[in-house]
Amino acid sequence: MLYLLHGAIERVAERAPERDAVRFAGSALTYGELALRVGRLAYVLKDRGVARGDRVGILAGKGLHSAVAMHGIMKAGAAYVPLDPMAPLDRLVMIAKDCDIRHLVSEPARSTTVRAMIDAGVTLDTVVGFEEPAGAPGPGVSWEEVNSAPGMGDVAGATELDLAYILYTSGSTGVPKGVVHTHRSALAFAEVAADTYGLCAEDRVTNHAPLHFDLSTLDYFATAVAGGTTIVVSEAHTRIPASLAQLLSDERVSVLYAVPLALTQLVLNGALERRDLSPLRWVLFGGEPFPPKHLKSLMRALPQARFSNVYGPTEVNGVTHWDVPPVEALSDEPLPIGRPFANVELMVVDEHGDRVLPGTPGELWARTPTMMQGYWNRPDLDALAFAEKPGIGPRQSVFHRTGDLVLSDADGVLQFLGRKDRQIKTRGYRVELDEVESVLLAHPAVEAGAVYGVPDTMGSTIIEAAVVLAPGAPVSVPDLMAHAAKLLPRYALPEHLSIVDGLPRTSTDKVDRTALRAQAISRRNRAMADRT
Amino acid sequence: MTHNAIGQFIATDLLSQPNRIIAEDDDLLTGGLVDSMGIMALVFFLEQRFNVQIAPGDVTIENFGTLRAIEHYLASLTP
Repeated sequence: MLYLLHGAIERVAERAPERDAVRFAGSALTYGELALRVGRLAYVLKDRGVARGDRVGILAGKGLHSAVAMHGIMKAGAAYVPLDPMAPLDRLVMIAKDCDIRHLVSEPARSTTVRAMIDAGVTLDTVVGFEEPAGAPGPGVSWEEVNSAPGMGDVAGATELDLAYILYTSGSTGVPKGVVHTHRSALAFAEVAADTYGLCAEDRVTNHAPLHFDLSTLDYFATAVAGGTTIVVSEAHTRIPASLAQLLSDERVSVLYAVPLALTQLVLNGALERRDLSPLRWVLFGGEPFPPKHLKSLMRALPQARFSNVYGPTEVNGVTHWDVPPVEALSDEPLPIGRPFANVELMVVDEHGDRVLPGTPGELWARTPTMMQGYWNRPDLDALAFAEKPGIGPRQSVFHRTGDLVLSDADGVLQFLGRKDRQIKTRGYRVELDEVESVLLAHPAVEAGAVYGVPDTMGSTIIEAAVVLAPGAPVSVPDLMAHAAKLLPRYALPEHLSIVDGLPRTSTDKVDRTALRAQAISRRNRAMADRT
Repeated sequence: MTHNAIGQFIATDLLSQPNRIIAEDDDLLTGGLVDSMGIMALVFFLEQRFNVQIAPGDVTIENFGTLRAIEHYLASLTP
C-alpha cells in the first residue's frame, strides 16, 4: 500500500527499474537510478542531522535534480520547501527563517544568493550541490559526494501524516504564508488525478510549472503513481513558445499541464503547425480562467487532444475539474470549474456558513483528503481557513473555506465568480493585493497608496498602483519600484505605478479602488484606440 | 552596437533598472532577465527599432538566449 510519496518511486523501481522516471534536456534518470539517488541523498541529509519533521529548502533551477531533491528530502523524513529562484533575497530569507530551514539543496549558480542568505542570518548546516574547497570545512556537499554515499537513508516510523512539503504563497499582511501538505493529502491528490486522467506507464507528462507552484505536484507525483515519465521543461522553454512546441514534439509528450497564459502563448506564437504533436492526448490547465477564444484556437490546433480545467486553491490541491466539450459545442462564456473530483465533498454557503440553493452565489467550502494540514505556524490563519460542519455522514467534518465565490447550476456544475477578499491571479500566480499595498506603504516617503487589479486582454489580471508621497519627498517611480522589488517576486510587482496628489475616496472616506480600476481601464482603452 | 541598444531596453523597460549592465553572453532566459511577457515586448521592440519582421517560429532559445544570439539573428535577417 502506498502511503508515502516517495514510495511511488520505489514501487516502480522494483517492478520496472529501466523505465524513465524523469527527463530533462535530453538526459534521463530511470526509476532505478532515481530511487538510488533519492536513497543516497536521504542518507547524506540524515547524516548531516536532518530529522523527521524538519524543513529542507530547494533553491535551484529545474532539472533531473528536482525529482531527486523532492523525494530525497521526504525520504529523510523532512518536508521540502521549494524556494522561488527568481524571488528577491529578503523574501527568501523571510521564508527560510519562518520555517527554520537549516539544510538546503541548491546549485553553484545560486552561490551568491546562498551566501547572501547566510549573511542575512539564515543558519545553513548543509548545502547540497556546492563544492567546498579541499580540506575547508563548510556546509557544502557536492552531488558526487551524495552519489557515492555509503548507504541508503530512510526514516523509521514515518506515517502518512508526516509533513511532505510546504508551499509559500502571498499573504495579505505582507508576510508570505506556508501551506503545509502531508504525504496523505499530496498522495490523495496524486492518486485521484492519475485516476481521473487515466495516467499510465506510457504517459509522458510535462512539468511546466516551477516547483513552488502547486501544479508541479501533479506533474511529479501523479506521474510517479502511474509509473509514467515526467518531462521537465526548462525555465527557458517556458518563456519561448516555439521552443516549448519543439520540446513537446521531440519528447513525444502525452499530457501537458500549464497555466492558460502559457497555453495561449503556445497557440499564438508556438508555430504549432510545424510540429508533430500527435502523441498529445490531454491538455490540463488551471490557476486562472482560460479565455474561450484562445482555448478554441488551441483545440483546433490539437484536434486529437482532450482538454480539462483543473480547479483548486493550493490549500486543497485540485477539488473540481471540467472536461471541455468539443470545440463546436463551446460557447464564448467563461468556462465552468466543473464538478468535484471523486474524493471531494463540496458545499456552497452564505455568509453564515449555511448551504445555499443551486443558482445562488456563495462561498465554496471543500472537505477532501487532499486538504492541507494547515498554515505553517499560523493558528490565526488556520482558524479562518477551516470550519467544522455536518458533512454528508453523521459526524461533523472539517471543511476548507476557499474564499472563492461560485455559483452552482441545477446539475451541480460550478462557475467561478471571483474572490471574497482581495486575492487575484496574475499569470497563474496568486497575489494578495493587500500584501503589495503593505510593501509600498512601508516605504518611508509613501503617505497613502492603493493597489488594484485591472483585467488584461489575455484573460489575466495585471497589478496597478497609485501612491501619494509625503510633501517634498524626493522619490521617483523607479525608486518605489526598486523598493518593492526587494520584497516581492517579479509577478507581484505593479505593472504601472503612478504618483498622484490624492486618491479617490468613497462616501465613507475609504480609498475608492473601484474608481481607480475604472480609470485604469479607460486609460488602457484610450491607449489601444490611439494605437489603431 | 546593436546589443547595447537591446541591453538598454531590457534593463530599462523590462527590469526597471536603467543602470544595470547586461553582458553579451548573459543568459537572458534562464537567469530571469526576460520572462514570458518580456519576450513579447522584446520582439515588438526589435521589430520597431530595427524595422524587421520576426516570425513567431524564429523566436527560439537559440536565437534569443543571449544578446549575442539576438544580434547574430538580426544580422541574418538583413540581406
